[in-house]
Amino acid sequence: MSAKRNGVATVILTSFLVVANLIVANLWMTQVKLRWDLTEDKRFEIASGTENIVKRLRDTVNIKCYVSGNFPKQLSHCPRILIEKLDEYGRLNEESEGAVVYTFADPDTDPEAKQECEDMGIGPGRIQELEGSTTMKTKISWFALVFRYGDRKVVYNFFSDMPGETLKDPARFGSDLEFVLSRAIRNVSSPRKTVGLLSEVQMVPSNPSNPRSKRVKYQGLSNLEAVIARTHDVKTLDLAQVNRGEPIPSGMDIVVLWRPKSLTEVGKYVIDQFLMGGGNLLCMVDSGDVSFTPKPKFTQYGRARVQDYDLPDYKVEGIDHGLDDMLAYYGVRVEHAFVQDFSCYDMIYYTGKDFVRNMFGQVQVKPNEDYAPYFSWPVIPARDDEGGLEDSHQLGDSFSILSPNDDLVLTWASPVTVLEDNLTRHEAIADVILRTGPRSWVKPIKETRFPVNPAEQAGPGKAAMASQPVAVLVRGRFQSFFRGKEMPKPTGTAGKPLPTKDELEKSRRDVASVRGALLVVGDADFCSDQFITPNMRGALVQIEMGRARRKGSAGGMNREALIGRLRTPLFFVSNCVDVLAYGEEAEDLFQLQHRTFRSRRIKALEKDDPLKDRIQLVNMVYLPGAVILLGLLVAAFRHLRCRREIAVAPTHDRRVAQ
Amino acid sequence: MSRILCIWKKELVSYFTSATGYAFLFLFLLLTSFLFFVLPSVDLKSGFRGNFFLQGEATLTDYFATFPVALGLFVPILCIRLWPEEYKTGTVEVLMTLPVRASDVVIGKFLAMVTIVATALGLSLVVPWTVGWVAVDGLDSGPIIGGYVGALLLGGAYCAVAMFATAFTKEQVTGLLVALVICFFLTFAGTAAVDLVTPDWLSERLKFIGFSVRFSSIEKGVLDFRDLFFFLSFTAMFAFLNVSVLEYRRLK
Repeated sequence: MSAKRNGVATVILTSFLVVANLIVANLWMTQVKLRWDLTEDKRFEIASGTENIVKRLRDTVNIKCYVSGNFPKQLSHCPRILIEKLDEYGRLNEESEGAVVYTFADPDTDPEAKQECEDMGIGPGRIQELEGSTTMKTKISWFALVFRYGDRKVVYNFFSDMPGETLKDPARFGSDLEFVLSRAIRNVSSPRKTVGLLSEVQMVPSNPSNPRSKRVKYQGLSNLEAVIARTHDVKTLDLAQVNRGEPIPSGMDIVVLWRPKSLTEVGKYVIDQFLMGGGNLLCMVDSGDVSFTPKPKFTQYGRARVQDYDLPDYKVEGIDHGLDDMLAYYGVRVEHAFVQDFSCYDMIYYTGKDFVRNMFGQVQVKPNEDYAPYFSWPVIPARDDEGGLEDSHQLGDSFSILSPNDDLVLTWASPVTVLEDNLTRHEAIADVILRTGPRSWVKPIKETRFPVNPAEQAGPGKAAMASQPVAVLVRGRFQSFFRGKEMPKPTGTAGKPLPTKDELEKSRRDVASVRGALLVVGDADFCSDQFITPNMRGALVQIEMGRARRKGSAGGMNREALIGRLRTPLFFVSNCVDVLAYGEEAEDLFQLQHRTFRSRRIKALEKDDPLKDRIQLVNMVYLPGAVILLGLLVAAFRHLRCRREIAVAPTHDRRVAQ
Repeated sequence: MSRILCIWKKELVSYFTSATGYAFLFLFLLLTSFLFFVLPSVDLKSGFRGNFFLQGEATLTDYFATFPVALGLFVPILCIRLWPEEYKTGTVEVLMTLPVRASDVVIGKFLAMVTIVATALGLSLVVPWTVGWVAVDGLDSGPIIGGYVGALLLGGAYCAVAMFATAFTKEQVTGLLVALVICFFLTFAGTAAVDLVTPDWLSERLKFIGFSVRFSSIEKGVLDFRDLFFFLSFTAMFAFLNVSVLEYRRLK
């Protein structure tokens, strides 16, 4: 009896010891940071782009993390992931002359830290949290980083900066953290550039007689300005003033010349001298003004079939922007033609009206819409169909200037030709950084009609189609377009006094002081608010929403797709500015950006696509069905074998078996 | 070793000569595919995210996310005939009189269950293959390898827990309920939904033992030594406890 009791006690004690040991071992293991990243692009390891950014540091980057100790539950994992990531950055310090060091402060308990936050304009986030099981309470939490490098400072508040990318999906918090940190380190360690947005766009009241009416932002560049302002200081410049002879303010590193319509000689001189002074120029040119001519043909009852009426038409009037000769002198030419591409975006058009009853039984008129491929809106894919980034769209064969996931839609883009003979004068090299697909061709603007009806958009034969360059980067030591020419005289005296001709002549340069860069894009309006404004008025937004309605997809997905589409033109232009600002150093961040935001896609499948049905059938019917069939076969086989054994067995055995 | 193999073979044959093994495979494949291809996945923050076709991303993350629930549900069902039936029919007494150790019996039965789970996972490889038909750039093999390694460890842990839970009782239904409760607790412990209603002091502890939380980092394609050690030690611990229960019963 005693031996049995001893045995039981031994079993219980051993079990207890084993359990205790394993718990202790697991707790101890939390200190071990050993992991293997199996992903193809090693997205959970520090990227080589980050390594390069840290290696280039010449001084210490101090990161102060303002994090509430009592963090909301749904985000409680975020500070832990942040610490792990910052530790990984710290490990790169050995390879760098500089270093990345970090400290933590809790503004909830440390009044000094709270005061620092308030001084720097860092606000807390307000997160709804469940208290008990029924009541919600708002928790005020701090989560911000301040990067200091020398006397420079970059503030990143997770709750307010780019919330769509960082805290939108807390479960994926770590996925873009490296991009956020590396970008901030790059920005704080590189001098912040000043970008001038030079355009004729002005925010005018929608009703001039009523200055109180809302300002029209519809055709402006507010989205573009906001995106560039994330990394650079942006100043808005008035092209009308430049056209009269006002010089570009000193200290401007990059000028984005957006959609000039009639540049004067003196305006060209001002831009030319900006280049000669070592500035970089992003020139976005539209070669035509497009106007819409709808052709509705409603039948007697307001409803018509598609074939009953014409599709809308676009009339184009050429723009004489006045840049042709100057750009040609620098080695590029924006053709007075539009690229047509079979790989294109759909144009929305209205086919009549439907009378429908709403949920309250009231009759409502609903516009009936349809879509047709519009060859004048080429789509430049981020990736080709075979997979992988398409080489032709990459800059320097190493990074893509496009958004990593979403295709870029250009609207009435003109081809940009490289004039090799003119490049030699500037010891310049030219890189085509953006091309349309191989099934594109060129249609001169003088044809004036660019209809939506695919039957009227006849293209040439396959042999005449070729990929068209739409953006070219020229880097060299430019010589002045006005070299040996008489300087144009400033015109107009309205507003503030303009410099005299003599004053301009004094500062005149015929050869650029340093090597500069000129990036010419044969399209401008694709990044304007008119096309991408998220307030549901932009053309591309309307089309996306219409498509989503037609497909009947889930709301969340549509919104994501929409935001992706909206971001693409801005990504592209912002990356163009970065290329001009940081040169080849921009590559590191682009590589990181691609790794962070790129996700693998599936082919676009229609609602009743047979491939979709086949996949569902294989996985949900054939495979489980095969298991059941196998089970039945085994059962039948066993039953037969059993019967056969009974049949051959002696009679008394058979009785027993039965 | 041969004794373990004998028990493993006997258990495996008994699974596949009855409907249990096939039912497990059928239900596992059907449920995981249905959840992935038809039902929209739910995210606490962004709400319904659509099913695989609507999301448009060539990733199996949501497919692997169904594994903890599917395995937590079906592994206990697979287990109910392991000990309760042995107790009820008295075969456990015969088994214990044979020249085998309790640990041999437990390991043999455990390996048989893991084999069935591995078969189910092997058959489910059809899913990545078919998803590959529509993937523009192909599938990233890393998360798939990670997902299946994690699923095997997860399945093993569930098997050990369910075996242990059913080893206490002769009643199949009682055994099933106990195993289900424990498995579901481990599945949902530390997940975002549970975390919202958990007191702060308990939250981190639940995340530490939560199977879904541990599995989610493996399925992304990162094999973290801490997670691997957790699953292996958890499995070993419950297998050992199962042996202890048998020893205890024998001594009692």
